[in-house]
Amino acid sequence: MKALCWEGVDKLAVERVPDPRIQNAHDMIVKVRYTASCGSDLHLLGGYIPAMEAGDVIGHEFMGEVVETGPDVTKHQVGDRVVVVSFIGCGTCWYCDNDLWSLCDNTNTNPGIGQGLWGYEPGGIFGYSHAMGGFMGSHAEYVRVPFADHGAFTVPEQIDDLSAVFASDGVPTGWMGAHLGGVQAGDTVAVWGAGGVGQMAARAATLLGAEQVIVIDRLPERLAMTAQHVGAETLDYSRTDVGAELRERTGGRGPDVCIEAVGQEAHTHGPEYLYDKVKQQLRLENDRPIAIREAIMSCRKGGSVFSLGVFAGLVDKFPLGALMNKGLTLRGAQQHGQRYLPMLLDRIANGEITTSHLATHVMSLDDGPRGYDMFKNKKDGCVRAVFQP
Amino acid sequence: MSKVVDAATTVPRWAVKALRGLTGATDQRPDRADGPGRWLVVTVYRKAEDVRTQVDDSGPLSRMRGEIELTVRPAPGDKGTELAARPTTSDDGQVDARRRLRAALRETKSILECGEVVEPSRPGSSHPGPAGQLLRAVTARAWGEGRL
Ligand SMILES: [Zn+2]
Ligand SMILES: [Zn+2]
Repeated sequence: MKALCWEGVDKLAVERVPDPRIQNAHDMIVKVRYTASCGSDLHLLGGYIPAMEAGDVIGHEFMGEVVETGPDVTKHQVGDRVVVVSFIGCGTCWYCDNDLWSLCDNTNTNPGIGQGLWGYEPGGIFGYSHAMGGFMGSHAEYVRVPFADHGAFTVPEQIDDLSAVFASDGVPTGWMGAHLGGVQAGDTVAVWGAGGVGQMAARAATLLGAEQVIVIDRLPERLAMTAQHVGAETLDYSRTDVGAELRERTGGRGPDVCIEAVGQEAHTHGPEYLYDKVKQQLRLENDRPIAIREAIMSCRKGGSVFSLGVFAGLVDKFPLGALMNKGLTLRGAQQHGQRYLPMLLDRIANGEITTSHLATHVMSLDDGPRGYDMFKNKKDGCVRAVFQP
Repeated sequence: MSKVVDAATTVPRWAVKALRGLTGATDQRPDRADGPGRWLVVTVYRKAEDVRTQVDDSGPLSRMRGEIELTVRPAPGDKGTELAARPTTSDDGQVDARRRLRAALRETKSILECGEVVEPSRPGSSHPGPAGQLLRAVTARAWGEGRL
């Protein structure tokens, strides 16, 4: 089959690779209809995530049609139209049972790598290196879905394919940030990053009862999209002092909940950016934590900060003093999509959450390398490049 | 070996230490070579009876029964059952024996919790190259490594 493969730092190519097959009894094979680029893929591309091999198929946000089921799959049948959560959860370990699906104990096939890096390994994810399980990704004609009864969800009729694809990753990730970030009725919520995940986090905050939601970015087209489709206030950080602006917009209090949806390739103006960029390139620091620093500094006393952007390792100049002295709660996670998908698909179906506007560039999988170039460099207003194998 | 690891472009320096641990030079302090090896413990989200039955009847631990001792006790907070194993004789600081035991414990947990051990995608890559070959050496051992 055809697949988009990682070939080395900043190198992608469409190749022919062996078709996936049922390897475990709980597996099924999905014929991919849409598969989306995600901000966290950029960390893979840049070589900041360890344990990639040339020829690894990337991609983890996808939907499609079931074409084969393993003997222990009971929920799905051939022909089902499904969206699949990016993280793979077994459904039966303590973590899955406690709705912490991305921390599944049984789906990372290379636990020693994750434990070496982080103390304990997270669960497996599609197309995201051998440190995250070694599962081939979704930028391909077919993908093997382990523990399909738990990770795949039938798409309601009212939802079209292109709207459904973002229920795989962007929607649940954003929802989780607002939910586990502790958004309550009446809160003011600030979100760093107006990409797909940031927009979905902002929408989730509103649906969870926040009275004021402010999304911070620098790209005018993303800010306009956020205002139009998400209904949030926007703030262009290239034109103002974010901390000061947030303070004044919140009556001098600061946001109750700050959600960081940017990750390790954060961008800003000024010397701090250069400092982090140089350190990152020298591999002295592998993550650029600009947005998370700003979130911690801007958050109200006793507030909560949630990190959704993907970080891989070490950061420095981390404002631990602000965290401690302001009594903040800091939390982060990879998405626990299985926990939220039935509810989120209902909300997409009834129009409470709209997603298809994120697919600014839909193209053939053959155009994968070009799509990633557009996505990475935000060319032509690209928010997400979505591929049709 | 460390030179090769440093040269691999897919492996940032901060990750090298972590990966080096998997290439034999583990950063864990070696056990005393004269006594039995350290207990390796895994928590299985199942009842103690189920765990006991599994290790007695079938699976990788039952096949190692002659070389190891086992204990089974409930984990606090309804987290399941702690299954501990250690070699009955000294492993002379050999990491292979410990790796084999870790792998057997993990497999036992996985079989008890979800009925099978999930496999990584095979074949894993179309053309791994030199850095990929190194990574394959690491991933070949990663199941038997870690803190367990
Ligand atoms: Zn993603
Ligand atoms: Zn699990």
